[in-house]
Amino acid sequence: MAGLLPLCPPRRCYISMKTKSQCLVKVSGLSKSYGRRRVLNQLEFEVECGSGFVIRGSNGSGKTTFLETLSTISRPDEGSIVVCGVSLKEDSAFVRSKIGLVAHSSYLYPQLTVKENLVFFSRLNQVPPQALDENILLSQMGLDTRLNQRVSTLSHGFQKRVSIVRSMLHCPKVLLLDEPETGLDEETLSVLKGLIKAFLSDGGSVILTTHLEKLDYGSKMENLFLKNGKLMPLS
Amino acid sequence: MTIAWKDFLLEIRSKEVVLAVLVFSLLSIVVFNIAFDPTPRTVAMVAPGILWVALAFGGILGLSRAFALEVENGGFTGTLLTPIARDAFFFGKVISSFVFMAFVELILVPVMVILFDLNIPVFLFIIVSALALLAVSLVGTLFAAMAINTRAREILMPVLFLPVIIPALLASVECTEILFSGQSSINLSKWIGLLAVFDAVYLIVTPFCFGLVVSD
Repeated sequence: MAGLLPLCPPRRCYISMKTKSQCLVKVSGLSKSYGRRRVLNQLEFEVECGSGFVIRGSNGSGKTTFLETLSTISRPDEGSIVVCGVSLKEDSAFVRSKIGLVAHSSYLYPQLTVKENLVFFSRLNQVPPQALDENILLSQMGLDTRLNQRVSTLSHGFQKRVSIVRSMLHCPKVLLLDEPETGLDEETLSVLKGLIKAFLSDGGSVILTTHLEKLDYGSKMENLFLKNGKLMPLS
Repeated sequence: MTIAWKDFLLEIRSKEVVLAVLVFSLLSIVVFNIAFDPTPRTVAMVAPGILWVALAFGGILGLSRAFALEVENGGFTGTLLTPIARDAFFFGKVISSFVFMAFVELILVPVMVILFDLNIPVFLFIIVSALALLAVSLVGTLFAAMAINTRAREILMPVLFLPVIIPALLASVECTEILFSGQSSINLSKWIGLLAVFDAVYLIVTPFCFGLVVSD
C-alpha cells in the first residue's frame, strides 16, 4: 500500500520543542459565521502525525466550512490555524504547500485535458511535470488511459479521481477530503480507502467529512461529530 | 508564466476571449465609420478615440469572459490552493490579457488604416499601444477578479473599471491623436510620460489590491 505514493519522501513529523508532541495541525478558537449564523464556534482541534479523522454531521453543520477554513480557501473570523508549526497568518503559502484538498468541485479546468491540468498544478506546486510519468496513482485511479481526454468529457466520478491525484501531486502532509465518496464507484472507493491507509502509515494525516452514517473508513480513523459549531466524539 | 501558458491553452481551445474582443471592437469601428463622415480633418480627431474606446470596452468583455472561464468548475480556487504567490498569479493573468489585447490590436489597426486612410509612425505607435494595453490589462485584471464572485459581474466590471482607466485612456487618445495628425513630438513626449506614470502607479497598486481581493 505504501507503494501508492512512491515519489513522496517519508513524512517527518514536526515535533514541537515545547510540548514534544507530534502535532501536524493545531486549531484554536476557530470561529466562522455567515451573517448571523455561527457555523464554527470556538472550535479546538489537534491532529497528530499518522492520525485520521472522519467528521460526521448533518447537512449545514459546517463540515465543508471547516475544511475550507483549514485549506485557506475561507478566512476564519477568529482563531488560529497552525500547520507543521507554522501559523496560517504567518505564512499561508507554506500552509497551502502542506495541505491537499479534495472538495465537491473538482477545481480543474474543464477545457484542458487531464494531463494538462496535472502538469499545470504540478508546476504551481513546484513539482517537476516529468514526475507524472512515474506517478502510479494515475493507473490506480484508472486515469492512465485518459490523460489526453478533456476534463469536461469525463464523468463526475472520473473528475473526482483526477481531483484526488491533483491533491496529492505535491506530497502533502495533511489530506482534506470533503465527502470523497460522492460520485465514486465501489472499486474506486476501495482504492481511496487504501490510499488513506497508506497515507496514514506514511505519517500523514487525513481529515475527511461525510454525511453517510454507515460508511466506514477503517479502524485507524477516529469518528467525530460536528454540531453547533463544535467537534465532539461520535458517542 | 505557467498561468499565462494555461490561459493561452484555454484560449486556443475555447477561442472566447480574443473573438469576443475582436468582434466587438471591429463592430464598434464600423459603426463609428458610418456615424462620422471620415474626412481627413475629422479622422485625425475621431479615430484615436474610436480605437481606444473600442479596445477598452472590448477589453471589459474579454476580461469578464476570461475570469468566467476561471470560475467554471473551480479552477480559480484550485490555483489559489497552491503555494503560488498572489502577485505571481496576478501578473500571469496580466501577461495573458496583454497578449490577447495586443493580438486584437494587430488586426484592428490595419483595418482602421484602410477604413480611415491613416498614416501611422509605427515605432512610436507601438510604444503608446504597449503602455496603454498594459494599463488596461493591469486595471482590467484587478476588477475582473473583484467582480468574479458577484451576481452582477457584467455590470460591476465596467462600473469599476472605466472611472479608474479614464486617465490612461485620455493619455492614450491624446498620444494617438498626435501621431495620427503628425503634430510636434514635444507634446507627445509629455503625454507618453503621463501614460508611463499611470502605468507605474497601476503596477504598484493593482497587485497589492489583487492579493486582498482573492483572500476571502
